[in-house]
Amino acid sequence: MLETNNLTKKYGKVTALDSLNLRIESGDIFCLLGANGAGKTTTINLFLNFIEPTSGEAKINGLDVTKNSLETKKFIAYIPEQVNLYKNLSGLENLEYFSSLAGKDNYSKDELRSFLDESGLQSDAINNRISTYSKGMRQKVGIALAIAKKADVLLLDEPTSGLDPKASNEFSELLTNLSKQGVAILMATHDLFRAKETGTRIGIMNCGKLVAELNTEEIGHSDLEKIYLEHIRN
Amino acid sequence: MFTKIIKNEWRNIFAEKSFLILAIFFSALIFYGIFNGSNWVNNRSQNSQTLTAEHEKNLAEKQEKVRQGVKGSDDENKVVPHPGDPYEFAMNLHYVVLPFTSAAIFAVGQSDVLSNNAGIAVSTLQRTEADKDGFENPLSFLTGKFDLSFVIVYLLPLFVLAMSFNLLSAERENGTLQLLLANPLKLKTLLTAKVTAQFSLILGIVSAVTIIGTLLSVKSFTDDFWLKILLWLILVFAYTAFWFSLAVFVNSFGFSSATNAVVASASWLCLVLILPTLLNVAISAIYPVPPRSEVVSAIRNVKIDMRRDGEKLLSEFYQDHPEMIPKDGKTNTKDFGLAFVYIQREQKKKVEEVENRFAEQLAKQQNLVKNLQFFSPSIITNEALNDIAGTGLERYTNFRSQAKEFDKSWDAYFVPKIFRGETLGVADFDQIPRFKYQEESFASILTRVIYGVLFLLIAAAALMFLAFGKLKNYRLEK
Amino acid sequence: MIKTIAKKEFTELLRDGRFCWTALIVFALLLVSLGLGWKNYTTVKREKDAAQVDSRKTWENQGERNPHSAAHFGVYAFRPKMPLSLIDSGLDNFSGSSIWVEAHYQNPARNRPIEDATALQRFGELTAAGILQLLLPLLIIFLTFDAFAGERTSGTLRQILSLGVPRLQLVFGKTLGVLAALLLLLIPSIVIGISALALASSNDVLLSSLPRFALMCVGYLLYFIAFIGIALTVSAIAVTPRTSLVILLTFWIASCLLIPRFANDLATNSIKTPTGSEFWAAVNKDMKDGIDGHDSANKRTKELEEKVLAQYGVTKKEDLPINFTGISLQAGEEHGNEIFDKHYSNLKTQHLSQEYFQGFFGVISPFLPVRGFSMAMAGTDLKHQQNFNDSVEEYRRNLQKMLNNNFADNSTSKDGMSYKVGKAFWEKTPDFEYVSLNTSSAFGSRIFDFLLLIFWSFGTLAVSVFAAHKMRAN
Repeated sequence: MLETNNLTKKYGKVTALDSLNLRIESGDIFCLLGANGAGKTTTINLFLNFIEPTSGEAKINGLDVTKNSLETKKFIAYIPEQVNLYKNLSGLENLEYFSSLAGKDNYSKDELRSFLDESGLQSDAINNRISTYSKGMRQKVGIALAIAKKADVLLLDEPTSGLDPKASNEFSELLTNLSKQGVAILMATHDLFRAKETGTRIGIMNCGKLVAELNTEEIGHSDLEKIYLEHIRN
Repeated sequence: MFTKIIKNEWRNIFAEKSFLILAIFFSALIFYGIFNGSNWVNNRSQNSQTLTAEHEKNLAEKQEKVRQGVKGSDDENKVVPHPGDPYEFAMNLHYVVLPFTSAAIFAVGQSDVLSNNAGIAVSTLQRTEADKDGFENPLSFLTGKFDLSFVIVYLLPLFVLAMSFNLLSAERENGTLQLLLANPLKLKTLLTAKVTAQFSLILGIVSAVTIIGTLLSVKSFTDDFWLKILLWLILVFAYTAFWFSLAVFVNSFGFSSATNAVVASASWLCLVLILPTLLNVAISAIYPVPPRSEVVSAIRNVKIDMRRDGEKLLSEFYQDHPEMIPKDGKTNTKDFGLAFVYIQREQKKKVEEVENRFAEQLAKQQNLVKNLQFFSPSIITNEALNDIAGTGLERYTNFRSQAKEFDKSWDAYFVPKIFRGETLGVADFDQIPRFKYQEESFASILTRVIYGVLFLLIAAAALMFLAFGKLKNYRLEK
Repeated sequence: MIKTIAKKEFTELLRDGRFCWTALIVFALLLVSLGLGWKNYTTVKREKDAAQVDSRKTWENQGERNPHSAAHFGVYAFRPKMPLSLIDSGLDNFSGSSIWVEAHYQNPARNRPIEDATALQRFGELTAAGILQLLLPLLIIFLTFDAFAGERTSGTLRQILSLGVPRLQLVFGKTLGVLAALLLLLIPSIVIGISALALASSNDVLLSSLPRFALMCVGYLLYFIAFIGIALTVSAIAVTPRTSLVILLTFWIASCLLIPRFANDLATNSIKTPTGSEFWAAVNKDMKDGIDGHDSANKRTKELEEKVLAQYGVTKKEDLPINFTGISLQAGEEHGNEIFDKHYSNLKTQHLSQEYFQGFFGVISPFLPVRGFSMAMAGTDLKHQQNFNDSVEEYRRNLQKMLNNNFADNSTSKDGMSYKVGKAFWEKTPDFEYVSLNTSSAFGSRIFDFLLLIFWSFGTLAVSVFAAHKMRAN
């Protein structure tokens, strides 16, 4: 479960994030929409405690991330726009390393293989070096990592940008599966279509403020685009 | 967690082709350095052994002739000195030898400039001065030798920096750092583990290759040889630790990899190349060595006095030293040989006075070096490596002063015999003083080296501490 | 077009804080080293001039003395400090600074300053030459490593190439731009260098040093161009600025640190020089077998005696109108000279061969030729040291001959060693005056190094043009 209370981040005079109040329950897929610089990545970085909030708080499973930074990271899986892995190691080796750093160091090779399988990575690529992987394949390793970590919370920063429609679709299905298992998902994205399809809720951000919150079931595709543009124009 | 990161770091390093190339190349350099050093020591030792052997052979031959009762001849056409004639023997140049230690193969140090042979003779003729003659190409000194010490002092830091200059910046630029830190893992832990992985690897390579190289090239081991090797490795450990913590420090600022590379190489340049030369300038400005031409003038002035007043001085000498008067009671103040011996002894004293001024200044300079070495880790290491190898200035100064003492006992043995007009008997040959260099104890070498090692470790710890402070503000965004 | 590119590079460098700071530091170091060089030059020159005068004075005032006894007393010759040594002290600290001129023995130059220095001296000296040879290339590397690689990463390279700029002009433009920025640093240094030289020496010395100084500047200019060419080539080939920097730093390390030491060790290991004791043992062995002026029992002396007696038509030495000892001493000198010629010319050849041997490594390291060339122009290289040794020996032989002839001609064998001369004669003996190698022969001895520098500079520029043609925009 993700929660923010008046979360604010300022860089000097510039306010990157302004009093954000957000609550994402398990099973939710919350899609953050907004132009570049609207504050989407700042929100994710704050949850990751990569940056310190100026005021307010961000909580994961009820724990403040700044006070319990190591504790809260046990619940998180993070998939950035580009899942960057050690290029000279294989997908399997990368998964083994990262999941053991996440505190899960007793998986057998077979279990790890099954996670990669679950995330849809072709089984013949598992032992190849990452440097031979396409972007979609790397994102799948990222998902496998989230599965292996048994994360309660998934933070995604534009994970599908640059993926071809098929890979993007596969990725969305994986997310839906995870949310059904009770994972709370926060995804920053530009893809209105994907947000409508996959998300359960949508937030629109502009200049560091959350200007609208919608339930995807209540709106149609064309409505979303209209609402989005209206909010961005202001 | 810690060991996981270390293992992963190793796996990453070994997967990198450039590391393997670098490691093999560096190992080759260490081997070459040891090989070169041992080559140097072997050549020089051979020369020393020949000298000692010739001296002993010469003595034995003379003793044998005396035993057989061979007499000299005064025939004008064929002057043959008596084999036991002390004048003939003691006036000529004999060499005493400073042996190389087993560890000398590690550092040529000052052994190419300072001779391992010192001349002993009652006279101070140019042939005694010639014991310092070196016919090494001066170009060799300008360039420097490719010994293990060079590899450690100059190249090891480069190896360390080449591996570690982008410790964090590379992970950040690759994006793996963000992924790593999305896990319950502190940046400090990550950094320490990564450094430990690289550090242990480099130290392992350097120690293993050094020990293998040593076993291959050292033929005889002195008692404290392994202690010295241990001290050597501790020193290398401290030096490596310093450069790693410098890399950590540079990384903690959060620059890009390219900037880190420039900053790291500039620090190397500054600490290894520029600072020592600046300190050298400062030291020779604080304790300037007098111009050598002063020695030259001093020697000439003494000579001129002695030549003019030799006869008078000699008769005064007999008045002061009645015990030196020959047994038949006849003093011969016109004897050219005796006057010569006397003049030589006086000249030696005077020259020694001037020489001592040089030695004093040099000792002061060396003291200052030991105090100022803390400005640059490479000076600390260079000095300490020379000390361990026994090729530093201190050991040569010790040798020169022991040789000087020996020269006095040589004089004390022969000069009275010359003045009394005695010849050496068979038993007298066994009484002729023999030189043996009194080696410094390991403990005294340790006391010279230990402060440097401690300082390196403290400096390393301080840099780590500062870096950890900086890490709190480390920005993950590119 | 070249001008536009050069101007852009130049402006960019000047606006780059990194360049300004590093250039300032290098300039400060250059200033300090020139100052130190100047101080060192004036002090040492004063000391040596004084010592030379002193040595002569002692010689002239040694009183009534037998000429041969005076020959044993001897005089000293001090190697003069060359004016340009304030820029490049070369081998000055590593070779002997004075020679004792005495009877019977040709002594080597003794009192090497390095013997009176601590191990710190081995880290090298802070000279202008050292900075120009070691630091300036690094500065060039830092300035140019991303010349193409950086523009490729930032994407400007695509734009420039899409404009249809000829690559030849691109390379020359960049070269000139970097060179102009360097000259901003070097021209003040040259002015300061000349001023230091003018302050330290008289006008005629200054004038005679200028051609050498000019040649030296040309040598360094070629060296810098070589490094710019190399940096541009690597920058054009390397994919990222980081790779480019790593390759260039590796080249610098190899060229300035590894290869010189490696070449030196290879040279000294394959062409061996004797140690002091070995050298003298060999000389003494030859001496023993030959004539010695003091030893009338020697066979050669006997022959000489018979020859001289026959020449004057007498049967006994005592009847000779001259002093036979003088003749015998001179014969001894001449025999000794043969021995010394043999041993010292061996040594000289060994040293020179070691130097030539290392010179060939200049093909893979531009540092070696520029170091040699600069030393030669400064008058502090091996050739100059040897030239000094040779002229001292020539002086020694003339002096000995004059003393022995005087001894032989002005006394008879009956006088023995009792013949003495005084101040009037000492004043007539020549004083040692050293004339250094002239500029053209100094240059001539380094023509190989100079050609290598030309090869390096033009070669690398050509290669960089080639690399720029092959260069990809992405």
